[in-house]
Amino acid sequence: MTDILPGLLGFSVIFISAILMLGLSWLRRKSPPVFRDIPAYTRLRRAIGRVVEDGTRLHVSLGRGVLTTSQSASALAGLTLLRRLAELTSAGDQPPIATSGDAALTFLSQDVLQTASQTSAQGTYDPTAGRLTGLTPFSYAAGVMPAIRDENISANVLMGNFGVEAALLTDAAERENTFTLAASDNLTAQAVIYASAQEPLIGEELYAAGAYMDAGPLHASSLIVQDILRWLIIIVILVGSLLKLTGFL
Amino acid sequence: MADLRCQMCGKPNPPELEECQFCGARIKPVLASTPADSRPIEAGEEPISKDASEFEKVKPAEEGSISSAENESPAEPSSDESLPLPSAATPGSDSSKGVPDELSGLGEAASEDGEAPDWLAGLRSDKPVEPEPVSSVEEEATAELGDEDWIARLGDEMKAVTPEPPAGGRSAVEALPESASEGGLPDRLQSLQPSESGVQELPAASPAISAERETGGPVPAENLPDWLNQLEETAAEPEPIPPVGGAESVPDWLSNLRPESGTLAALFGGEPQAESSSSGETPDQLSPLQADVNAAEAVEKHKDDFGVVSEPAAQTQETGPLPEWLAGIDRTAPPSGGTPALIDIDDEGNPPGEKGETAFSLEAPDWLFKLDPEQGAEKGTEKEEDQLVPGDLESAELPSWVQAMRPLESVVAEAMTAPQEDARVTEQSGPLAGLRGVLPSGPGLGPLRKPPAYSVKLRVSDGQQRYAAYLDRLVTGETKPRAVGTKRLTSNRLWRWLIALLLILAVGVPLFRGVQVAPETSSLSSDKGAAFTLISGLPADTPVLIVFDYDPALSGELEATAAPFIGKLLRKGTPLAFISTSPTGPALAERFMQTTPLVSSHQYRRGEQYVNLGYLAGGPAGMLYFAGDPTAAMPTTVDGKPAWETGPLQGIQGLSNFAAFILLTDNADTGRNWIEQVGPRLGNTPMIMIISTQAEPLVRPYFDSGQLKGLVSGLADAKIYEQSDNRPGLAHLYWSSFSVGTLVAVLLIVIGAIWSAVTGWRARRRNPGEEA
Amino acid sequence: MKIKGVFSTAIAIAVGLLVLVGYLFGYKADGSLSLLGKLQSSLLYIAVALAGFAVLVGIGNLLLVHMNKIRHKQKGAAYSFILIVALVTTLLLGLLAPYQPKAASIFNDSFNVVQLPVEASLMALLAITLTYASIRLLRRHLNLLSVIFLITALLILLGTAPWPFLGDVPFLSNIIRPFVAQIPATAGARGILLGVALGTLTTGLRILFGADRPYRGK
Repeated sequence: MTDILPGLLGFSVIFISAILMLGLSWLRRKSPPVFRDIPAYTRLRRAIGRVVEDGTRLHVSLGRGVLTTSQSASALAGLTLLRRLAELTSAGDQPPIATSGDAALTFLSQDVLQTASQTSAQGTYDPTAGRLTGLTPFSYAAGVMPAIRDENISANVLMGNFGVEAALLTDAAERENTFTLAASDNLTAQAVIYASAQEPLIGEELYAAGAYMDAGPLHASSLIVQDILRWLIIIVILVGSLLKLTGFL
Repeated sequence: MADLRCQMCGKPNPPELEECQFCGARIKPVLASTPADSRPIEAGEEPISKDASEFEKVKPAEEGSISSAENESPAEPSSDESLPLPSAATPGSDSSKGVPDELSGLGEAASEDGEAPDWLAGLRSDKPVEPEPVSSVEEEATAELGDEDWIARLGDEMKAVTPEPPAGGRSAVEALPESASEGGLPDRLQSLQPSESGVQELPAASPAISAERETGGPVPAENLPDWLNQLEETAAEPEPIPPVGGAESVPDWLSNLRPESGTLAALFGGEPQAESSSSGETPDQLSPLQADVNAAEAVEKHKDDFGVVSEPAAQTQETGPLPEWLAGIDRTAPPSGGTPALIDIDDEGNPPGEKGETAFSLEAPDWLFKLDPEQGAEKGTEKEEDQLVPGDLESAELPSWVQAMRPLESVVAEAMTAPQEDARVTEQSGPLAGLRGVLPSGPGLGPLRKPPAYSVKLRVSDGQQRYAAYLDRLVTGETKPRAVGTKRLTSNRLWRWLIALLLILAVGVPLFRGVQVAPETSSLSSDKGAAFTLISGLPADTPVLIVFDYDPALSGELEATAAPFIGKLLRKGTPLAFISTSPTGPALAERFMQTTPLVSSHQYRRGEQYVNLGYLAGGPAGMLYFAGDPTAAMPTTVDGKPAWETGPLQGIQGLSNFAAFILLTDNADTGRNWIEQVGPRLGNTPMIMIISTQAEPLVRPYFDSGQLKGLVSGLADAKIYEQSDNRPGLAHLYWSSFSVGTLVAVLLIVIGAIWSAVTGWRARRRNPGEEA
Repeated sequence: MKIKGVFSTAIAIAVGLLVLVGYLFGYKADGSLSLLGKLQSSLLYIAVALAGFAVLVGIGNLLLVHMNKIRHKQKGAAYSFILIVALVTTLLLGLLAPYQPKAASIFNDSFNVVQLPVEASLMALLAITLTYASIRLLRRHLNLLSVIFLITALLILLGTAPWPFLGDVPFLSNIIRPFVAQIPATAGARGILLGVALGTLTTGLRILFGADRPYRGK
């Protein structure tokens, strides 16, 4: 029993979260939730509008997170944002490009861009729009920097699993005087991004991209479920700390 | 006897009939100057060639009286038939109406070649009707007709001629009856005599204009045909105002529009009589003509009032309420200065068409011919004076039935009060000039006026000139190439160069000069010597598994940090196994063994003292797989040789068989993955992590929780271990550079941050809302 | 196309559920793998193999991108040519390395001489970039959080490295730096990691529900 207890506990958490997500997404259809303002996403919308108006290109970098690791969640969040941004820029002159440091992530980004190109004004789909720039972190960064410089990019979205090499990307974007929004699930990268990016996102603000960019009702309910679980964790930590202090645990 | 075919409907009629029994049209002409030798045209007869000039030289009967013609000798019918031309209504001398436009040309043409008949010439108001000289043939005809005897001649001819049923094909222009006397007039002419009833026939051909026009004398009524007399009487009588609402074919306003002169009698008999003793009714056939005459005379009378060709109104009497569609029209004189836009007024101020507008006006609308003036004549006169008072708004607007309901007092008061000033605006220009009560052309638009003339010169204000000059400068500047001068470095690039230079100097000088500016450290290591102690106690013959999961970029720090610990193992002769979940890991492992101080000196050989298992794909999944069955997950080495059967790893079945598990990583997530996936499978094998300084905060909890047995973090811990082992290595070499470089970086950050904060604050203060 | 999308979504959901359940209930009491565990392991091995094959295809994509650059003579086409030459050369050397010691030596030297120094240089460049970014931080975001961030970074720097001629500053190296690194920093990092974990959970659930389908399912 004790062997399966962690499994049961984990399964129950997952199951409750799933039920909450589905129920809240159904309930919130009538009254959409109101979240706190994240200025980075507001400025991102403006930047996307400028991209379409200027006829320039949008660059989305998904990082180097491997899909078979826990870092894939940030990469999937980046893919969701990529799909949404590709839809928003479908009326632009040039299609967005997506760079990544993992091969599987490259294929998924190509799929997303191909789906978005079917309803875009650019016409045909360019297979090189989703590209693998390097297999190691710094080689990946070294491959992204020329794309930022030479591809007529006016807005950069760095969302995924980055390391300290994110500073090179943000610096390259700043040299070109382009809009940069950066987010990573890596703590070191978050510190680097906070110091160097124009619009940094800290912590789970990365996973709120879908909700703030109107990707779907389930994204908004996901944020609410995260808040509920966070409060539960806070309560458990506080109660556990008290019990530990008092000697009951 | 052959039937007479009606010329209107084409149906045969008995010869004795004078009117068609189907359509009522006249079969036999009323007046016909048929020569004595002329005979009715029979069907099938070949036409007789005539000289066209004969027809033009038919002299109008200026005597204007058929009766006068009767007194004269009966004119012999000329060989040529005089074909009386339809004449326009010719008013009396006082009215001086002109010839209609359609016939004016005849007069002019005739005047030009001098062959215009007298009657035609008499139609022209500006020229006295004078008998035109005619040819011999024409003289005969004119002699026959005579100036004053043509009507009388008609009567004689009519007496002489036995009325015969007209043959088919008789033209409408038929010779007038021979006898112009009243008694000798044909039936149709006799029927035109003033009588109470009787169907009056429209004369197929109007007689020549009476010579009375020349003489100016009126023709006695007894000499006029009956129908003329009737017309005169009818025209002289004031039209009664018929009651509104009845089924009338003649509108009241039309029946009331009676010319006081210019009747048909005046046309043919001379001066029109203002009051005619005739009180007969206008024949039906002449009713449209009569109406036309009335209209023409009214127009002439009121030509000064309207300025347009409108229905003539009685001068002194109100002709009755106008229909609703004409109710708004006020028959008052337009103010001076009004210029009709579309109406051509001649010099005498008469609207076009008024001159010579007679009953035979070609401009009369068709519906006039359908009206019956008898019905209008039967109506009584009713307050005509009131309805014709200029400026009387109420009477003009109110329908008659409403007016009938008005109280007597108000009517008397209106009659007694002076005509009020019409408050309504009188249209000054445009097609409705002279009319009152006309709606303005548009709110705020005001009356129509001549558009103002604008100057063709462009008026430009000073501000517009400035803008134009500015735009011109902009456009001109776009086409002019700008010289590319030497660009001084921007502040950003300058900062970067400066920082790079300072850091390179701070790090390079101590490194290359070998200067030791930083003293030895006295601090404790992160794990307080646990890793060092653990490694010192490991058995020498049990292999140790080392994982190289760091990036090549951080090889400088990790190699310097790991060298003291790996070197200690090598001094003991411990066999090693290398593995990596990074593609560059195996290469890093080889480099570490071959080039790193404290390690390369031991000259471990691959395959003998250490085994390089290579790259483990799959990330955490691969870790889990390797943890479960390492021999299956990595069966061979990077050389392709079996890894677990021979060499240092012989006899190793699982991770718990290793003496220690050492992880070299710069990423906290990688460390966490190894801890989570492999930790449960290690058993008693201790796990030691040698990490970069940046990952220490995140990995320390695992050390604090006991999952890690040793934690070595960064260059500082390596320095401590080198000092304790008394074996200087890379940490000792980098220690001074590390100290100076860090200090310089701190100083740069402090000074630069303060400078940036001040400049940013000043920039925001200068431009609020500006983003950095 | 719709059937393809539905099929892809069904496979993704089914495999995801199996792996999740296998993680939770994949081991028996004795520690051996249960049926679910074995199924999960098999699926993971398939995923690992696919990821390895994906690396090869990704390299092909890399080659395609740079070849297009050369073909269309875009900016940086010369560097693309060098990249392609280096890639092909390294690939050949790696394939020959097990059979040719010379090739293996050259292969190892190419890593030690080219890749490692280049990445190390990029890391050194990162030091300059981060120093410059720290200098401009207050100009970009002049607020309390930025000031705290800078002060913390300076404290850690001063507490980690010895001062020239002074060595370790006792108060700074022994008290301040350990306290900041192990308590506030760790606490903040834990909180952020918890939030990231929750986000990872909900993202995974959205994949299992089929709401997020980056595999051309929508």
